[in-house]
Amino acid sequence: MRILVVEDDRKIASFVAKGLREAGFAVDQADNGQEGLDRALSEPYDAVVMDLMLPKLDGLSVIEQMRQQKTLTPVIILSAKRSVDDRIKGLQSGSDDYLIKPFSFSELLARLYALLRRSSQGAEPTRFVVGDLSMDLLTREVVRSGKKIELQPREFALLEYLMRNSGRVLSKTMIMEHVWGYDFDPQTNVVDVLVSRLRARVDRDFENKLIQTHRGVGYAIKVS
Amino acid sequence: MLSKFLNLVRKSYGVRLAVWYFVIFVVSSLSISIISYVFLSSSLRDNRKAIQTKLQELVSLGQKSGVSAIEQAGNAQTASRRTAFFVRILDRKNQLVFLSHPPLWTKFDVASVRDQPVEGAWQYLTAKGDGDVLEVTSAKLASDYLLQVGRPIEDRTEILEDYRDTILAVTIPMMLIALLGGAVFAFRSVRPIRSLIQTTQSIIETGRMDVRVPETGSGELDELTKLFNRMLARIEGLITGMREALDNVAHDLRTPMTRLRGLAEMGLQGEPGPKQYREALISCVEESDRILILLNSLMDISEAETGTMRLRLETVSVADLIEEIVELYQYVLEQKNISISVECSQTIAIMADRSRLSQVLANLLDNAIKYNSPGGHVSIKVRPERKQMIIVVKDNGVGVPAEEIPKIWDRLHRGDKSRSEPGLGLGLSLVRAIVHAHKGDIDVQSQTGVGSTFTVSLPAIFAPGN
Repeated sequence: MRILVVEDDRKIASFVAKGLREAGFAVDQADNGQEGLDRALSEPYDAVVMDLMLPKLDGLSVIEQMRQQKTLTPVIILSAKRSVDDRIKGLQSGSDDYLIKPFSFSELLARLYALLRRSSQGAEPTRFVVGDLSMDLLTREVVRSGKKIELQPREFALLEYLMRNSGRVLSKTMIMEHVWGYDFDPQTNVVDVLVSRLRARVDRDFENKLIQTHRGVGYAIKVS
Repeated sequence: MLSKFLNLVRKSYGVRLAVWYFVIFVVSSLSISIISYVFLSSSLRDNRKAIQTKLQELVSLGQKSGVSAIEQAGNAQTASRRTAFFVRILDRKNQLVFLSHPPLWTKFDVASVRDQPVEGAWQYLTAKGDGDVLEVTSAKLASDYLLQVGRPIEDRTEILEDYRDTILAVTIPMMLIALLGGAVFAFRSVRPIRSLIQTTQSIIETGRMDVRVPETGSGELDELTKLFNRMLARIEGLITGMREALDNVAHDLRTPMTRLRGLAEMGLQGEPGPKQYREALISCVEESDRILILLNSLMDISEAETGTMRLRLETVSVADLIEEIVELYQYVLEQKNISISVECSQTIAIMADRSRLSQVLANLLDNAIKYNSPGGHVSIKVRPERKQMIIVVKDNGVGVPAEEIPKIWDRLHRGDKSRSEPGLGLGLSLVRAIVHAHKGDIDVQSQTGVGSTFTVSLPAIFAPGN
């Protein structure tokens, strides 16, 4: 998988590139809009990570021109502007996702995977397996070591989200957005409470704990 | 000189207005005069045409039937002054052979021939008493006779001449009046524009936003002045608001930034080792996340307080919204063993920003849960009251001491009881700011040990059928 990172801030560009390389992607970098556009048009990338405020050509124009040239590579915008209007403008220009700075790298990675999955247009899996835990989306059955686990709708939604991204850390913000559809931060950590409930059902009676807390980053499910 | 004037015309709206006024006034007055002149002269031309036609008619009659036929036709004329013609036949020696004219024309000395008639030319016979004129033209008859036909043009020529003279005479005063009128008119009508320009200029030069254009009278330009002043007031409000917001945010960020820096520094100064570093880094990430949330909340509060918050207003069903928020806290309620009751009519709807209103309800519910003890109860009641919708969130938790009640809305204020709970101390400030941004109000009643009641009132719209 090949990713193009268009970002003029060197430190951000280098930590994004480093993180993506560690995650197994091939990464190219461009530090201005024109170079970014030239590369995006000439090379077959799987996804583009695009800053908005760029020298020479701004990010929105780059995306618009890419779309005009029928280059349909998925694009994630990185922007310091957080208003709803800016987000809508970004998505209208033809980008596929919008991430507000400062962002957590794990969130960028998770969103990137989601985009790649969407653009690869493979058949949606109907079954997820992590270790001895399995989930069937059609029958909505969750089974661990042959034992059926009953889950309430939000618990099911969280587990599905974790299993779909198994091995990857999901931030509380992403869980909040994905499970409830809210983008504000409730003061009491609703996400923590939901995770602890899910743990009680999925992990409590088993030796091997699957749901892991990554302090300061978020939660992930994987076989440890 | 001319180019200088043209330049002035191009640049100054007032001069342009005056010139236009002048041009339109002069052109329209002149054209009215000229049109009347043309009509008058064309009626004179008609007279000549009639004479000519009569002459042709008589000449051809003479060629066909001889002079006696002309004499007969002349005698047969009606006595009317309007339709009759003067008909005269002269011989080679200019002696009168035949004369026919209406009897009323006796004041003309038509019998004698004073001037040598010229064939085809126009001649004028003047009446004895007044200035009446007989217009006459002539044609040769075959038998060496000269036929003259004519008609009076009365005083039309004279009118025409007088008219021309008058036009020429009034042109200069008329232009002066136009010039003066144009100048006064332009001066008066651009006066609001001039004060607008002066005000704008002084704002640009001094940067002071508190000046206003003097408002006078009514009309489009004064309307513009009023709108301009309102715009200035709004810009001034926004700028002051933004400046305050910036000051507040900068101030409020210093404390958590100090904490972040402290955490990083402690990590560096402490025992070296991957485990310690990892702990320090985790703390740094957590602290920076808190700073981000704080920053976002502070921006929201400042924007809402200064009226710069963009609200995406839509019709929101309050019952649905409360149901969603209660569902969000369902597990938290279960975990803390707190019961909840909701009373809300399905038909109550309000115009609000859905996401912001969710935030308000979530924060209030969050407080009600946070400062409650296991086994406690929270109730949410919504009722319409005149044109308002009242949301009451009541708990039987720890309550707020009376002396702290006025402070709970302050940014970053945290009561003694709340210090042990996680939070930023921004929740209620944000709630109040958003409620105010929706043109609503919020009030609290609280008693230590009994509980708190928050009452939010928002302007409501009611669903049809209610």
